[in-house]
Amino acid sequence: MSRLLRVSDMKVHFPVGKKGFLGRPANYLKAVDGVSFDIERGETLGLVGESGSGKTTLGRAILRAIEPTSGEIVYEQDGNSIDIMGLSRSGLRDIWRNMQMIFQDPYASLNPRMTVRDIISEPLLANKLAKGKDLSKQVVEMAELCGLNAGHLSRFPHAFSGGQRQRIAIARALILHPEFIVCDEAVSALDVSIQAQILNLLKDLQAKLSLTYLFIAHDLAAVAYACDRVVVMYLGQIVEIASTEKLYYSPRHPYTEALMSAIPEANPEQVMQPVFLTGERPSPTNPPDGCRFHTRCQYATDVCRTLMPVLGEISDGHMVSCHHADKLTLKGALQHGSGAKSA
Amino acid sequence: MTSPALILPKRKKSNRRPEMATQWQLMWWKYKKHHMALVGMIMLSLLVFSAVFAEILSPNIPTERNNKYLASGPMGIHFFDSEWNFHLRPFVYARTTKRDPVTLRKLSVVDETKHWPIEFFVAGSPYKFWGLVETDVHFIGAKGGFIHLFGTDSLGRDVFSRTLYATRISLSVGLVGVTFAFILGAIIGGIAGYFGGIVDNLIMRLIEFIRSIPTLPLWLALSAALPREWSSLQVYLAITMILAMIGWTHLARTVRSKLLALREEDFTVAARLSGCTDMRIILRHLLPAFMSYMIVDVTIAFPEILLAETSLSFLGLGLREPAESWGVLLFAAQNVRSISHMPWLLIPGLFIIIAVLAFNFVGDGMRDAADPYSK
Amino acid sequence: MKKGVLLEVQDLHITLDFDGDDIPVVQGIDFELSAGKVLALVGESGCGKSITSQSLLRLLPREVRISSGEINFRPTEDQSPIDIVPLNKDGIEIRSIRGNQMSMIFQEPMSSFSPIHKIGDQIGEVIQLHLKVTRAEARTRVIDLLDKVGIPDPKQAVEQYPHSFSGGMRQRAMIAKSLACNPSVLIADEPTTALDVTIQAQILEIMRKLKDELGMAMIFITHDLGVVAQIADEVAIMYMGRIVEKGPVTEIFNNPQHPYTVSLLSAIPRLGDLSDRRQLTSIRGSVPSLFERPTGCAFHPRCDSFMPGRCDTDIPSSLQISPIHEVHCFLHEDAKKEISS
Repeated sequence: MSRLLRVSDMKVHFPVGKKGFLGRPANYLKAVDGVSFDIERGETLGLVGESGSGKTTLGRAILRAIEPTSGEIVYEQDGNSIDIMGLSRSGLRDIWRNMQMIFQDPYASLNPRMTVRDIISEPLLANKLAKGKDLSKQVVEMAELCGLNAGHLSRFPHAFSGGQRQRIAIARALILHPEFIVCDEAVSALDVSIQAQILNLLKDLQAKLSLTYLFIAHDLAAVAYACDRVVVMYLGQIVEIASTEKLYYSPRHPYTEALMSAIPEANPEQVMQPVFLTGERPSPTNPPDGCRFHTRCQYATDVCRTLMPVLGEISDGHMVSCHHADKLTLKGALQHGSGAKSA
Repeated sequence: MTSPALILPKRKKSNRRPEMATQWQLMWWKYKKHHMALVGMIMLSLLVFSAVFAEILSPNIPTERNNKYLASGPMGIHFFDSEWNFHLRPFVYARTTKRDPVTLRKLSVVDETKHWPIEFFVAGSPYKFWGLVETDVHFIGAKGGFIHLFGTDSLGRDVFSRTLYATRISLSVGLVGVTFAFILGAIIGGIAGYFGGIVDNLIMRLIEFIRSIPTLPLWLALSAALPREWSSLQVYLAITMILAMIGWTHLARTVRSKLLALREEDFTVAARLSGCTDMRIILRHLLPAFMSYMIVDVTIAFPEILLAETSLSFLGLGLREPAESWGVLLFAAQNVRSISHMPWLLIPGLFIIIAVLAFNFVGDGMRDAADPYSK
Repeated sequence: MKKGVLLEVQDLHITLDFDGDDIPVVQGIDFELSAGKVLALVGESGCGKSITSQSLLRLLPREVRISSGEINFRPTEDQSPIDIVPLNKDGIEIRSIRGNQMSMIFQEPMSSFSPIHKIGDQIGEVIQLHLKVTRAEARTRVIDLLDKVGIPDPKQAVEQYPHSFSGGMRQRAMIAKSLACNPSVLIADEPTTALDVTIQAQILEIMRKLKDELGMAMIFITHDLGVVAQIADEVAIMYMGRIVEKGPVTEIFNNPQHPYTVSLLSAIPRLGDLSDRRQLTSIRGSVPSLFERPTGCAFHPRCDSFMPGRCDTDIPSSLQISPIHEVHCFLHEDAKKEISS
């Protein structure tokens, strides 16, 4: 697989608190603090983490929907390496024809005052790519591809259920035929049976339109279903990257271990035995010294408290940021309880 | 996931198709539920109607003086005469003038033997409708005599006619003032809200400065500074500008805060990612979203400007005769003697109350209807 | 009431008054709750699970009312049950039950605490309302409760305000508040939905302990089948205001009978399927609005086993597949008839 995107040392810091009349910030919320990873063409890369991990901010920063404080984003398009950070506003508008986003809240991401047709047509109109009959044709085609029918087009978003609205949002994102989509918790706000519909639709569309997804989610079971590789974030940094199976069944980072063991499996015979984390999650304005996770880690030693670990490759494609990664044997998901099915 | 306890209704049983409804339709449906707001709307419509057709509706023209009926009270309309006979056509009793033997002042005395029947669309004193069309048709008149529904002042001028003409001036001052304030406020508030940062900071400080100046002394100072030689029209425009200069701050703050909030909404981010320029986002996405709030603000700003003009004119610093506004009319009623001898001169005050109430009711209804998408 | 049963709901009907029209929200549900057991009410949005839980404590919003049915409750086995339905919803009887013998925790922990009062005072208030204890005794109990739910340094915590607590801590504090008077029944309305998965695991652990150590009976409302599998003893699946299937958790997961249950179970991604990448099956269409309730069985427009002429005309009644497993579906009625005939 060839590489689609490379993120290098991305930082997104938000000023917090004000000092003085015209306000110089007292502190920074380090939502994303030095993140580097690659996205391969055609894959679905999962991005997981709990609240405060920075995953949503990262998703938006990659598209420069939020401006990163520093870092590099290099996008490979038709053999050219494009430096996203260096693009002007109009350059960005061009790039956004290839990189799009689907949002979490189907109620907030559609302008309630526009008809479905207007919502889906907008990217084409804003980029002056089509008009009149040609525009209509493209809109109808995309709507049907996403499971809507032509009769829906003259209605307003408030007439639709959450799942249908999400389909509208997907149609809007895909109308320009992008290569790369950031799915920011795209199914989290939907009912269970609808989640399955939308996950299947996304998979379907990926095959039909050769899409690459960055799948940001907090539902670890959904991520396991949808993703090829997964990135785990904690407090603004990446702690582990691995293929889905490796990550879930043989994690190498203590935080991943805790996450995987906490997943409630829909099987009453598989009793959870979670690894409980001690203490509270620190605030992103004031992360701990050394390894950010050390305050809650049962394996922490002195080196963890003082020295920040580096994300390194521990086996083929499996990256971990932990001082003790090669010494620890950690539990994976489902490795507990009576009659456990282990990988 | 937030799951509401109930799926709230998507369709009422009526023939409405809410899924096809634009935001204006949704707002109207929500507005209709508010009964006081509907009443307010009717009241306002009546006032606007009187303002537009003031000349036609008035039995007299404001400059006309009736020497036979000076400083006299409202003439009653009767259907029954003194013998309790019913007349289909209402009438007023004739008035004759007699001289008071003691004070030697002319008095108007009711003559119950003669009737002046009320007629519609009579020929009366000529006037120019809106200063354009020459005509002399008056909607109401008394055959063979005169009619003064609200009485007359000490110069014999019909209070009813003057009040109707004044409605036009007062409402239009309000309208023009509000329009100026609206434009100023929307632009300045829009800039502050959309760009944020230092621009926003500076504009907010400016607004705070302006708001900290006490309004009444400011108005008084500004109007007192107007040259006495200016024509009524010049004074009129200057007054409305002065009022607008203070009024825009409130609207600017509303626009700014709405914009700051809307800027972060997902659909705005989506619009940006779709390739929309800033201008397109403001015009197509943001403006319609807070248009309804701006309208609410306008319905609230209107009575403020109305009362401001009334106060200024009442104090003699706003519009002056021969221009008529409610405030100017009340100026004449300022002394105790007027109030005790000619209490009907205060009737324009009633119109002010009705107008302000109407705007308040309408504003209430609009505030509820303003965001038809909120639950 | 049967032995061990603390709460019994019989043929409960709840209606919504919409501009003069009566719209049914819950149409005749029955269930029982026994001491030391967790009953999960499961369903997607609009199924009526939250409304049902609110009705148990007569906390329904103004436009919603219980139109018929019984909610029989007894705090201990040796007391005689009272029917909660006819009680005055603002009256003294229901108020002495709420927070005292039956209490409730919600999805959003911040919303059930006043931001301007200390945590200790708020929990203490509940104790003092119902139990005849002094302020000092109440305070000791509060500290004890906070310790029981795992809040570190409870003596300090009582002096703090809710905003200084993290989400997980607030949820624990809410659980502590609900336990203040040792209720027999705890209603948990989506208590972990808004929490991170590691915090959820901790809260579920607390609730499991409550069940085991205090013998607390719980009604657990959720849409997350994973959580259900981990915490529930009995499961009732709801769809558009009716219970479509009910039984022990192992039965429901291993032997689902209602088409909705079957579809729901195969629509959720599971870790156990990671290697085979089993395709998720979705249920076509979406939940109809309350105003467009389908005739007959409400699920029929989305059901793959739909039998025209049957499922769209009559409402299936309860059928016992086994003494502990019941389902509301014509598929099984016919099957049973065939066996018996």
